[in-house]
Parts: sequence; structure tokens; C-alpha cells
Amino acid sequence: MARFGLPDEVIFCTQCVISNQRPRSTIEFQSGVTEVKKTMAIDENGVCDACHFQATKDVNIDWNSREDQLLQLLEKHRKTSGYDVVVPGSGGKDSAFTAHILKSKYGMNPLTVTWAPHLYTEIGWENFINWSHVGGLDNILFTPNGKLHRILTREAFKNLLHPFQPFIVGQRIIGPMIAKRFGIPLVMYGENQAEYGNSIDENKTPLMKNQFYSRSANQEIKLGGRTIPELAAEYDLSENEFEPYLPLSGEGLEPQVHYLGYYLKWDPQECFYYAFENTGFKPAPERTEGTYSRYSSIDDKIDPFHYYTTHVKFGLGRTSYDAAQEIRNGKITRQEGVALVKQFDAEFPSRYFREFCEYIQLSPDEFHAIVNRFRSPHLWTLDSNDSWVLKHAVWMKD
Amino acid sequence: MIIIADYGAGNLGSLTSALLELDLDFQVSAVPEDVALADRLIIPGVGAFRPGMESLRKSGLDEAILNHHKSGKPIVGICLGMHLMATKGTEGGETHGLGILPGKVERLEASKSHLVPHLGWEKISELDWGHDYQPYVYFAHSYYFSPESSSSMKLSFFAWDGYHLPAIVKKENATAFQFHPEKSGQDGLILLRNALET
Amino acid sequence: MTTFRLIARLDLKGPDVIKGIQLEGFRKIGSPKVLAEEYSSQGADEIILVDVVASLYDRKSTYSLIQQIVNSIRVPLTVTGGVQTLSDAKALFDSGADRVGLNSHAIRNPKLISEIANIYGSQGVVCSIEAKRLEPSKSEWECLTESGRQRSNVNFLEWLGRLESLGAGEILLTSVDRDGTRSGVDIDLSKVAREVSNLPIIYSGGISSPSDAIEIANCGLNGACIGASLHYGFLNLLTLKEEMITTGISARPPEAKRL
Repeated sequence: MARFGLPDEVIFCTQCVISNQRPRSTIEFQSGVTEVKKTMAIDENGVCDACHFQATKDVNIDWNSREDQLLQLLEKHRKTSGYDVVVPGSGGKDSAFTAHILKSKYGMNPLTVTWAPHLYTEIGWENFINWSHVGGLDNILFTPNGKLHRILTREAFKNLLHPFQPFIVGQRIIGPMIAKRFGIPLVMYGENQAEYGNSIDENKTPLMKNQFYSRSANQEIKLGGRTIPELAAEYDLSENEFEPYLPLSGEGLEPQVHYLGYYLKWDPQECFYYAFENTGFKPAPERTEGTYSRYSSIDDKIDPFHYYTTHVKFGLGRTSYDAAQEIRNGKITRQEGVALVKQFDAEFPSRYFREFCEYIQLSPDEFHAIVNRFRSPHLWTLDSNDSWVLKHAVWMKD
Repeated sequence: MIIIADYGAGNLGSLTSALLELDLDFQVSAVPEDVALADRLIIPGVGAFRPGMESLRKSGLDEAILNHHKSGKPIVGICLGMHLMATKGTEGGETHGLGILPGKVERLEASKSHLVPHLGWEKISELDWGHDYQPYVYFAHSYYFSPESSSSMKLSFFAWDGYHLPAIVKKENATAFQFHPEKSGQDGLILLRNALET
Repeated sequence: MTTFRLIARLDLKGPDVIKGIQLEGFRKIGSPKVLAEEYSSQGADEIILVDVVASLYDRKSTYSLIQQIVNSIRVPLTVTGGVQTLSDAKALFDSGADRVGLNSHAIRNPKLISEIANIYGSQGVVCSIEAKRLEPSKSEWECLTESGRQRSNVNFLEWLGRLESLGAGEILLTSVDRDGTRSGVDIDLSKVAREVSNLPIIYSGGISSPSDAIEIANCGLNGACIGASLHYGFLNLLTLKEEMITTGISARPPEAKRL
């Protein structure tokens, strides 16, 4: 019986390398322990939603008309003094591209806003600084209370096997939050996660679903699968320490949150080249464990554990995500993608393992015990050496 | 018909493509009987002297080449092919060559300014070819042909660390190139064609 | 001094020439045959084809591509990438490559170098090194393998020092830090390489101007291998060469006459 309500049968897309186990983007602060995940749809021809959407991008969308829409939107918001758009991000390839192009090509006056990574990598910090020093952008860096952040990471890891949750929650909120406080009505993100296989309808609008960053007055918020009163009681904290993690509620300016990827045809690898050429972005000096590439998600030491846990929960590691994206954007072939998944997807992130365990205050043994609890029997089995192996992988012949 | 003797010593891709560009009919063969029927013969090659000679002997190509040479028909040696036409080679001890060109094959001496293997383009000197300039041609070798001084050969040279070493050797119907005319631009093609039309 | 060579670098991925940054990324640049012809007509002394995904690809189409290129240019062609065995090398030579390059598999199995050199001569064997600084300010480099994806833990200078006796004929030295960045050359890397090895050395990575290439020549290296600057139109080999010759560097002048 599959865990998380995942589909029992594992099916891989015939065009990319992703499987039907891939969950859609969740509204994190509603996420509970027994949640049933909605997952990637693969049609009767074996093609996933994300590949379908790529085809639309390539053929059906009139990008000239989309850009016209962008120009109209920006025209409405452009100011001659003061910030006119908030660009959330960390100076990685996507936010670097978004902020810089809005300023240099479209004449906007962006304020970039960063929700700090849990643990900055050296290259992440350098790229972040260069975003400002070379890219020429103002930035507000918000570092949430690290002690609480660690607690939330630990809880999310233990209860949901999702250590990245505190980052995702904060990162989605900080842009609209700062925009609201500064009175800036426009927030612009880079890509819509719908491109990666959320419901295709979500791609028909430039707007982020506001459930990702706002809530109704009495909506219960969960972090790490637990309520705030519970956490406050257990860890002897006051409830107002949790404020940065709270979605916006009702009163005052409600900023409009758009995706630039709706207006401009998105190519993540080309964002990397653009960022190198314009904001001093450099790829990581060595590849992160679990993947082959060096230009994507390189600023947080926790990142590899995010992908390690997706591999445990869904059988899809970082290589699967990176390769699927590059296949759809025509950078690599499926044949290459499959070979890369075989080579790198299951790699254990040993480089920062000790540091991660210290960060969440668990021993390596405790780490593995928790991880193993999340291995669904429909995905994992023990081999003759008593090691966990995947029952289904895209490179296995059926 | 031009025959390229294939004795297993290295690639022929550039050479065959050069002959295609020159619009000359040719065949590649490892078999002495074909060589016997050739109007013109090319001995290509990269690699070492001793294994090269052994391969020629084993296949019977050594005799076929000598017969062709005796018949007076044009014969062209390139790089190792040139070396094998010498009296003897010195790599790994002395080995007898085909003896078509009187002289020995010796190792290039390296210095700070001249590294071994010798790789790259050099200008030839004393080339009589009907043009008013001396061409640059491409070399890739660690050994060179050192002629006997009392021989009746026409030589063109390349400069090496204060010396002049043979770049082209002509003796009657035999022409030998130390460099690779098939990889030396348009000038190389001219030299290759001239040699085949001797 | 033997002449200095100006070499065009084509990073090959399947049917396309691509160009990355620090060996990362696969931006398509164009057709290998068209670019080889273009750079050859600009006066390239050699073309180097670096197959960046060799181990993941079926290579038959690559061999056919090499044949096409050899048929259309009249300067030497070196092919490097994915050579694991003598028969891999043979297949490349048979397709028309004039020289074959080894990287990852030479480090794993150094005997491979002499295996190939014994048959094709050491002048036919290029050892390709991807050198990455361990730290930006330190003059120590590590050899990377698999197009910059893997660390080998092999110290660059130690490896370089062994290559002559292992039978290599030439070194293609790529500064990973500079590759694709057009930010100038790693001159320390070039200097230490020249001190340690007596083999001909070609430098690749970051060449953006005539003065960069001149710096390499003045270090005593034997050639400059240029990629991004050519592909994006920032440099032209013809003008680059002319400028180098006027500063007194010995190089093959642009062909004055053609048939």
C-alpha cells in the first residue's frame, strides 16, 4: 500500500524522466502528517503534464502577445522614484535574471528581497553579493530567527521528512510581506512551479495562487506538521516568534504576485548564462551530490537533503528533476537523462551530512531511522545485503 | 591508379580526403598484388619504425614496394612512410629499412626552445616548386631522416634548433615528406599532387 | 622556437557544438562542420573537438561527423573525450582524426596512454587535463574528469610530471576556472605547467584578447586554444594571428596564396 496516498503503480514519462510519484506544489502551512499528495499526471500516451506544457510553450503560446501583456503591466506600475516591483530570490539564476532584466530591459526599479538559506554555501553567498555588486540591485536580506528556524527544520524533517519546508514557507511569504510593508503593489517571481507539473490550469494565469502566501483570518497554520501553539509550548517559545512564517492576512494592501515565466519563455539554463553575463553569477565549483549540474539550487547546504528526501519519499532525486527540466528545454536527450539519473540520482549527500545532523540536532543513526520510516513499500525493498533499493527507476528495464 | 599501402600504421582519413579533394583516383590496399598494379604508390604512416618494418615484411608489402620503386613509377612516402624508405632506423636499436633513400632515421634532440614531439607548422626552405614563396607545412614527429652526405638526393629543409633537417627528400622517382602534406592546407595539396606527378 | 599554434576549440555534444561556462551548461552554438570550416578559413592551425558527453552517447554519429569534418578542412583535427580503450582510439583514428585525446580514462588507467602511443606514435596522443584551482588564491590545482563533473583527487602537477614517460605527445591544458568566461588566462597555471613538463602544451580557458594569447606564448607554451571568444564573435583568428606576429611571435602566417 503506497504511502502519502501515492499511486500504487509507478509510471515514468516516456519523454522526460519524471514519474507519476512527483507531488504537486503544496500549500506548505496546511501540510499535515497524514496528507494525501496530489501527483504528476501522466496521460495514456505516457506523457507527463510538464512535457505537455513544454509543447504548449514551444508551439501554442504567442510570446509576443505575452510580452505585450508584460509591458502593459509594468507600465501601470513603473515609478520614477521609489521601488515599483519586489523580486524575491537569492541571486540564483532565476531571481538574478528576473530582477536584472526588469531593471535593465524594462526600466523598472526593483527591490530584491531574500529569505536567507538555512546554511549559506560559499558560492551561494558570493553569487548573492554579486547580484548586488555586479548586477546593480538593492536588496533586503531577511534572516529568520535561526534558533526557531532550526527547530522548524527538525520538526519538518521528523514529521514530514521535509527539511526544506521552513525555507519554502518563508520564501513564498517574504516577497508579498515586504511588498505590503513598503507599499509596493507588484511582486514578480521567476518561474511558475506549475511548469513542472502542477495542474496545467495554473499556467493559464500569471498570478501565483494566493493561498501560497496569504490566509483567511482564522485559518489554522501548521509548520512541520504541527500547530503553532503546540510548537510554542513544547519549545518554550512565544507565539509571536512565529510571525515571519505566517502568511499575510486580510487588511491593507494586497500585492499582486506574478510569475515572469508567464510573460517570457523560460529557459533555466539560459537564465544561468544570463546571470553569468550580467550579475556575476558563477556555477558551483563542484557538483552537488545527487546531481550532475552545478548551476541550479547551489546556495543552501540543506538543499541536497531536500532532494535526498524526495528520493526517499517519491523515488525521485535531484538528478531526476534537473534532467527532466533539461530534457524539456532541449539541452539533453532522454537517453542522456536516463544515464545521468542512473549515475547520480541515488547519491548520498555526505559532504554536509555532519553539519546537517548538527543543525537539526539528530545523530546520524536517528537521521537514518527517521528516513527509513518514510520508505513506502511500493517504492523500496531490502536487498540481500540488507540495503534499501528502489523497486522502480527510470533506467531499469521493465 | 594510385595505391595507398595500408600496413596498419595509423589513420588514413586525412590522406584519402586529400586525394578526394585533388580529384585523384585511388585505392587503399594491404595486399602486395594490388601494389604491383599501381601506377603511383603512397606509403603513409605514423608510429614506430620497427613495428612498421615488421608489418611490411609480414605482409610482403616490402618487396612489392621495392619492385614498384625499381620500375621507376612515382613513389611517395609520408612521415613514417618516409622513414621506412631509409637505409635504417635507430629507434630501439638498429633496424633495416627499405633502403630506397640512403640515410638513417634518428631521434630529434629536444631543447628548451624545441620540444619533442615536434608538433606544428614550420616554413620549408630551398623548395623549388614554381611559386615565389616558401610554404608553411604541418609536422608531427619525434624522429627525422638524416641523409648520407654522398647521396644524390634533392633536399628541402625545415629549421630545428640551429640545424637544417630534411622536410622533403627527392631521389629519382621517390619523394618523401617528413611533414603531412595532406594536412598542410592548400600548399600541402599542391606539394602532394606534384609528388604524385613526378 | 617552433611556431606557436592558434587552435579553435569545438565542444561537441551529439550533433552540436555547444559552449558552457566553467564546463557547465550546454548552450548550442552551431554545426560542427560549419564552424570547423569557418575557423579553418580564419587560419586555425588545428581544430580540437572535445566530446563532452561521450560516455553517455552512442558514438556512431560522432564518427561520421568526424569524417565529414576531415573531408572539409585541410588542417589537423584532434578529437578528445570518452576514449576508454585502444579500440575507442582506433575508431577515432579510422574516422579520420589525426590525434586522439585522453582525460578521464587516462587518469584511471595510465597504461592506456602508452598502449595507444605504441601503435600511433606519441605525437598522436594528447593528454587532456581539466585543471581546477583548489582555492582561488592558492597555486594548487586538481584534475577533474568527465567534463568537469567529477573530482579525481589527483594533483595536477604530479599527474603532469608523469605524462612524458607514460607516452603522451602533447598536453591540452584547460583551466576549468576560466573556461567559457572570457576573463583572461590562468597565468600561474601556465607557468608551473611549463616548469614541470617538457612536452608541448596547449592552453585553453578564458582567452579573450590578443594579449591573453601573447601571455601564453611568452610563458613558453606552444599553443592557444580558443572557444567562447570565437563562438561569440569576440575574436577572429586571422586578426589575432596577425597581431601576434607583429609582436614578434613565430606563427604560421595567414595563407598568402591559394589554388
